[in-house]
Amino acid sequence: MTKLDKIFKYPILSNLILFQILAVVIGLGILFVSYSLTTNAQMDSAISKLKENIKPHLELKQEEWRTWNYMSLDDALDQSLAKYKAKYGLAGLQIIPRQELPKKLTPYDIVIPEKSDFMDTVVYARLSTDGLQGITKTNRLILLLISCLGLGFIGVVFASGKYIKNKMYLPILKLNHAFLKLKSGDELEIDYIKATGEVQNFLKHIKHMYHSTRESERMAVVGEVASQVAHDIRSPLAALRMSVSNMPELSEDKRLLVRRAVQRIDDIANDLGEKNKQVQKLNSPEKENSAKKENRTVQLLSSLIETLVSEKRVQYRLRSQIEISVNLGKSSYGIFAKIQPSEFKRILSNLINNSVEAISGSGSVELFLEATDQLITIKVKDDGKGIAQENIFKVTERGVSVNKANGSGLGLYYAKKTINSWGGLLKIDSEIGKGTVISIIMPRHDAPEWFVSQIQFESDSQVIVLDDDQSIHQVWNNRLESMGIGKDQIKHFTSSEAFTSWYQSQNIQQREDSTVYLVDYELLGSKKTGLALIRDLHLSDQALLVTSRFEEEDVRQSCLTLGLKLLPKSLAEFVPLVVEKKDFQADLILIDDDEIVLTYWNIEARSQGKKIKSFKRPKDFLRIKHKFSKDVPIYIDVNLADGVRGEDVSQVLNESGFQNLYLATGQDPAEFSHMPWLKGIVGKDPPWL
Amino acid sequence: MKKYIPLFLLLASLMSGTTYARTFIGYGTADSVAPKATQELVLMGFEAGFEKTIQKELNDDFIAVDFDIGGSPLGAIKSAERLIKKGAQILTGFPTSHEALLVSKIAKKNNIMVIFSSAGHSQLGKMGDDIYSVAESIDYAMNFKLKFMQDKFGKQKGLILINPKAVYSVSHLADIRNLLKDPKFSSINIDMINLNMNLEIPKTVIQALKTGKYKYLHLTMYAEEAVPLLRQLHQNHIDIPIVASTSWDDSDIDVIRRYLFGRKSPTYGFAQWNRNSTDAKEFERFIRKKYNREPTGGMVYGYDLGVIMATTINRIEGDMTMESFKKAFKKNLCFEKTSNGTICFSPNGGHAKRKIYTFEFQEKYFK
Repeated sequence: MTKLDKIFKYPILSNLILFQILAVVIGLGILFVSYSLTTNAQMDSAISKLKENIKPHLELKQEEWRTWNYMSLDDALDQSLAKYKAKYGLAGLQIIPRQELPKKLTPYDIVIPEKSDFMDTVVYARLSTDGLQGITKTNRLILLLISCLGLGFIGVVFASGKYIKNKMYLPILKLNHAFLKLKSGDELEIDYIKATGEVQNFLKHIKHMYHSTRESERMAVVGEVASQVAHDIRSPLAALRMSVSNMPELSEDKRLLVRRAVQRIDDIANDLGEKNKQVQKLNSPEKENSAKKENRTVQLLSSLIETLVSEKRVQYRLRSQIEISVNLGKSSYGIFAKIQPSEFKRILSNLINNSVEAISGSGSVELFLEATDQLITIKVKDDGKGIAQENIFKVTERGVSVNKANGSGLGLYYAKKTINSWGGLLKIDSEIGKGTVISIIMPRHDAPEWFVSQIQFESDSQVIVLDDDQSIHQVWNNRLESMGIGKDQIKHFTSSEAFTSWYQSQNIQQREDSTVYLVDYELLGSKKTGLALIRDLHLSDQALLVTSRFEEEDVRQSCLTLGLKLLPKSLAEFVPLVVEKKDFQADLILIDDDEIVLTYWNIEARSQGKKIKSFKRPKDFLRIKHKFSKDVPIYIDVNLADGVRGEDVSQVLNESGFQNLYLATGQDPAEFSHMPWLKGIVGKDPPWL
Repeated sequence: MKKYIPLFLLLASLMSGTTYARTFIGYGTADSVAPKATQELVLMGFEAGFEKTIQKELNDDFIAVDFDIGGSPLGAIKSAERLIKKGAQILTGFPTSHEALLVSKIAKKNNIMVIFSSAGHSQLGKMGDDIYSVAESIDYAMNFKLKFMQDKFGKQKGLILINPKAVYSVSHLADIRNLLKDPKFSSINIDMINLNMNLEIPKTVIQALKTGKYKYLHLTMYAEEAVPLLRQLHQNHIDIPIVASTSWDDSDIDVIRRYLFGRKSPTYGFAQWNRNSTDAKEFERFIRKKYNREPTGGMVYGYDLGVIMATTINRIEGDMTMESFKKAFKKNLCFEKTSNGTICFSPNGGHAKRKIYTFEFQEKYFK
């Protein structure tokens, strides 16, 4: 391949060379034209001026000179001409026959035309360059300068070309070759490419990106496996934990050993789950960005704390004398706060680190999560060396580090600053030699709509558990039995197909009764997810999705759309269960979405000794309407939640045989005069007032 | 010019015999060097000499006079061209060397014979056998003047001033250089210096004159050109002997009288006629009779030209043509009854062989 072929093979290189040549040609052209215009204009101007000065003098004398010349008095003429040459700085001054004039006159020439028809001579003068020496010298300087500029320009063009070639073109070319090799199956090898500056950074980024991609691919596989393992472990672990607590025959030390083993396995499962999340974040630029610009969101604190504690246990597994534990019980259930989860975990992680570092030898770090209706308290308690009283207020100042050799003094400072920004505060209680309790006190946030605050059963409710994991069935068995729901009321399914088959065998009456469905999201071996099953069978009013994937936004969104509640599977042990006795006797039924109205009517009913059944949603009543007497008076609000109209509900109830139907509204009764099934239009006050 | 037309009408009426239907002689002149007044004196002399000598009847077109005014250096050529266009076959007049040198070229180009009235430039002697001048040549006059200066001032240092812009004056320079090569003038101690660009005596020369470096001064220019120099000498109180050129009495003496009068040192001039000779006395008498005024050197040349032209015409037998005129002129190259007596020419052309005389300025005149 010739050099020319090589050039044409690489269009950027050929264009670069072409641009250089064009730049040189155009640049030199501009310099040449500028020089010509400048110098010519200068010379023309100077010559014209000189001529204008000299010519009148020559014209004044020209006839005399030509006359003398005509008389052949050359001696006298020479003297006169010589004087004029000297006086006006002329290079030449002659009287010559007209035909001897040069055919091409130069700008320096002055010709005084003949004015008589009998003398064929003209005065022919030439300007001396002496008069133009200044201009000529300037022009020479300009020429020299322009030549230097031209050479400099060419040099710069070629130097810049060479620079671009060496610094940019060749590294990119080599990178291209490296990619070609990569495509053919080799590793990406770019270390040998010499580059500097931005290109060097670019290559570093490429290399980093390549390795990151490789790592991500590997991590994705690991994460997938980890996720699956974590999922598979979690349910049997819950069952194991439950079983251990109900095995009084085991000695205390054996129970402790088993509980620790279970805890360790639980930590590993949590750690695997967290790693999978990190991998997913790494592989998702969108999620990574959102993490960077993380906004405050409503978070279930028990889940975050439990996950973090698991991570910390793994982190400090070599310091086995230190026990890191979290005390989550029924009181910790359903505590939500509006926080930045990563920041929250970072703060808590720092606090745990501080506690661990404060312990020399053996000790414990305990975390507590408690809440009132308004406030949440998270405590990190250790039995380490403690902080002196005089330092307690200093440790939250920027740059102040106490008891830590390499502390930056920023951890507690940022923790306090961040918690303050969430509307909370950081409290430190410590005593030298006894330990430290750091409390994070924050406003409590209402539980999100998707979250189930309690599970309500009726004493004769049938409970359906659909989960591919056998162990969770045991958890529910234990909890439901402890609430007085017998085994015969609980039905277990591990696949969607078996459940669907059973469900379809039920009559409508059976379907509409007070059955509660506890359904897992992910059902191994089934084509449908639990969510899809609930949607398809229209069970969202009676079902509960029990899943470890409660944090996934799409799962939450689907539940919200269906009006379905979610229960994190790990909280199955803690979710409050409420069993109501079977009682369908009522003096009055109220359907109103306004909590104040409901409370008001209930208070008034109690004071009057009336028995009232109230429902926020019409469908809650419709589901069990058949259990009530058809004579019971029913008061219905007109504007119900989700755009449901009270008059429509009254019509449905009328068609079901209910006779005493009222609308509890402040609207004009005339508006409902065309509805004959209504017994009356009453206000928002109870009817007995 | 117009005032001479009646004169020619008179001349024509006096002439008898052969009748000439067209211009034959063209008398031209221009004022670029000598002023019009001086030129007129020559013409007056010509008229007097012609009138006194002519015997034949001429009509009013026979002699045409053309006077170019305006000071153009080429005025003589323009005048000559106009006369030739009118049909002139013989040119005459053109008193100054400047005019003569120009016209001689035109004449040669047109094969026309010219007899100049008073041009002394030495080159005219080399122009061929159709070019004549009634005046003596400058080299002849200069030879005479150098001899005079040698006799008068011996080895004393003298100064010759040249007007570099005047043909007549410049001509002296070349002739003096040649003459000084002659051993007979080896004793003459003289410097030659050009006037400056303003045609004044250079300041350094004035200084030299004041210190007495030069004992006498020779001015080579016409009287009119010498006036500013005489004024400059007077203003600088320089009073040394002056040797004038041969032309100073051509014009009216009034031109320079005021600068010559009152000088303690002598002023020497040169004239073309011996005032004591019979012919000169007849010339003076005729001039005084005709014009009721004193004759001048310029009139002398004009008078002699008129005598020569008229004598030649009188010699012509048969038709008057240029050839017959030339034949009649060259038949006898000596002409009598001029102010200088008999004047002769060379058959090869050139200047007349005539005598010049030394005078000194006394009592308002050169005597």
